[in-house]
Amino acid sequence: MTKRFVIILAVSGIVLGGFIFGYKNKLALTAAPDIKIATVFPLSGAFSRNGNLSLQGAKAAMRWVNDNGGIKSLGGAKLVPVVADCGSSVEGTASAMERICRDPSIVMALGAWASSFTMSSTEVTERLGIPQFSISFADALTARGFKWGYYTCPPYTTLSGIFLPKVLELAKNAGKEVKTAMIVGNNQAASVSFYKTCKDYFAKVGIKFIGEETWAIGTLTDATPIMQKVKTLNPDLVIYMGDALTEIQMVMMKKKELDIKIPFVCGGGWLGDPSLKFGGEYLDSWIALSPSFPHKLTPQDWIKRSLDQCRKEYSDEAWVGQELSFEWSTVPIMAEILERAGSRDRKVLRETASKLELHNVMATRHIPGQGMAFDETGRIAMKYRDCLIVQWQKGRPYPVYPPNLALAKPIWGAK
Amino acid sequence: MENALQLIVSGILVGVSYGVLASGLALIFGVMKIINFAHADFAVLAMYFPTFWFLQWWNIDPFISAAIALPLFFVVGYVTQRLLLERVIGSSESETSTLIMTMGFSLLICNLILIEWSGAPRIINRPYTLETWRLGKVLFNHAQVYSLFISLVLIGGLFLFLNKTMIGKAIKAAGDDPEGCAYMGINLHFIYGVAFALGIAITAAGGCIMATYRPFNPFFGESIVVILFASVVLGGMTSITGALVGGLIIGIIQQLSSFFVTVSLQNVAVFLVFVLFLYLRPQGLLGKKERVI
Repeated sequence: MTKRFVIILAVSGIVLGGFIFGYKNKLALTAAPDIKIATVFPLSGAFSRNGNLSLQGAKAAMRWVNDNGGIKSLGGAKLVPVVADCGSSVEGTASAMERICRDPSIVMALGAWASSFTMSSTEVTERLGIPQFSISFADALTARGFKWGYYTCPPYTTLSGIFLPKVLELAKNAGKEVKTAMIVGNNQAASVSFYKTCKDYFAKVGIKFIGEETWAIGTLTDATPIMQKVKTLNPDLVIYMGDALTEIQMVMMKKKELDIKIPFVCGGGWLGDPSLKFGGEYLDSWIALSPSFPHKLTPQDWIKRSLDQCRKEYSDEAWVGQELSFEWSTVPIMAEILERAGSRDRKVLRETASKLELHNVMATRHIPGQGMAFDETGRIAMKYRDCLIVQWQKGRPYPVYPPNLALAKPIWGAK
Repeated sequence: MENALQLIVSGILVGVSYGVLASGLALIFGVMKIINFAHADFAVLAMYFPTFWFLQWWNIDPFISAAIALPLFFVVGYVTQRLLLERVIGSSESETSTLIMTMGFSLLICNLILIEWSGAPRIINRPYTLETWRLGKVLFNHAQVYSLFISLVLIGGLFLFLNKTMIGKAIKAAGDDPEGCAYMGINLHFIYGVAFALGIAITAAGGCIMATYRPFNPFFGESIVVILFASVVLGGMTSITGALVGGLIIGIIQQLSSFFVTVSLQNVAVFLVFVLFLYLRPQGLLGKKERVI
């Protein structure tokens, strides 16, 4: 090798390196600016667990979008959450949303877990004209004539309309006839509307309600008297609603302790929360309605990403429950809207969302109905509304309905 | 009939737990006149550490953790009193200052637990947690029965300490007449520190045993602190025995009220009886015009 050849090789290397460096920098200089998503959840206070899990799910889903090239129609722009804590209060939610939405570069909003929080935060985004996406399912959210809110979960009335006949079918298949029922649970707005739906439906099919024991959320200090009543009245089925996990644990422990074998049917996917794994065996046979729970078609990568993200920033979860998986029903849909709109303009995004029609695509994998379109109120269209029924079996929860998404077969009542 | 018996049994078992926690509160109030809003939060802290984490890390039984919590929280209480509360006691506005300060402690403890161990509710899952003895149709939960006996030992021990030891007698004297104690050469700073530490230690041990049969989260303290105050007032403000009896009464009313009202009105029933009781006996059950501890 001559000296001249070495010099030529070195110079070529430097020139080539310079080109690569320059090209990379050019790319960096011209990279599309991030797409800022106002993300509001209760990260402190009584509902901090629900909010933190929702946030981790949202972050994992955004990272999945970004790792897959971001929003290609916007030059590969990345989704970035601008996070605010709403502190487990309705007023706090409105002010948190207001605070972060002062930034004019906010493109969309996400949150705020509980229907009452979403109710107040959408007051802000409606006024500012920012499309807000949410998993909240109170019917009242879409009864206000708002135009900027989009809800990727069916409303409670639809969910219970699907859920209750399936539960009775399950009993029938097990050779049990449900003649009497009892209500046990907190009396917050969503629970009360669930009880009403149950009462209306059961009245229609001839099931008699023989008792009702409700309390204000967070005030139950001992479940003995309630479960004692359940044992005495001995209904064929108990409709149970709880949101505070401590209260759920008190009820489930007392049910086990008093050896009550009556099936408990619950209107909320919180029942699949991994924190219930301590004593999860007490929940065997409990059935819950959930709009979002990892099922047969949920990509394994999404489950892994959610758990990794959660372990990294929040807690060492054993499995993905409702809260951690909720935002996988929403963030991929938001990304799809951005992709199709090819614009950051909020009005264009709203128009695109209103005309959206997705079915059997990657973005709808986690949605029980496998499709997404919004009706005129901003709620998921009727044709795509479906729910999952989750049941605890041998110490952990599994989806048992619909059959094409189920990971276990349903059972009726404790052994 | 069996239902009523079961509810009375449950009321006694729950009430004794309230009584242990309330006795610590009564001791602190009786000696130092501090309304400790963070009282229940110290119990919650003990539910996490040592109880829950010692069980997770080294499989140490919660009842053993209760014994560990006693000296551990004695130190925590003593340091808290000497370093923080001591600085405002004695000033003209000390009652307000300590009230606000303990409210601050409460927030601090709740949020430290939340940051360190998340808001996930925890359960102690031991063989005795849900097992029961049956007497006729009445069930006795193993964990609650063990807790009942340990609670009685704790309160008995506190009672003996206050009545049979020199420091205990000094604590009682400081509660009765602090000025006189100072003239007698009793170091009030030290005595106040010990009284506060004892109150916190017994509460922490009470928290450990309470965790054996009920779930808890960082905000659990909020749901019982009012009941603890009610127990203390019902029992006679400064009386430790009174606090135990107050806790028992509240536990039994809570349970029995479910016969007449829905569970959402349980605490309404408790406070209705509470108000009626105080109307008839304003000084509380065992309260006297002069202090009794």
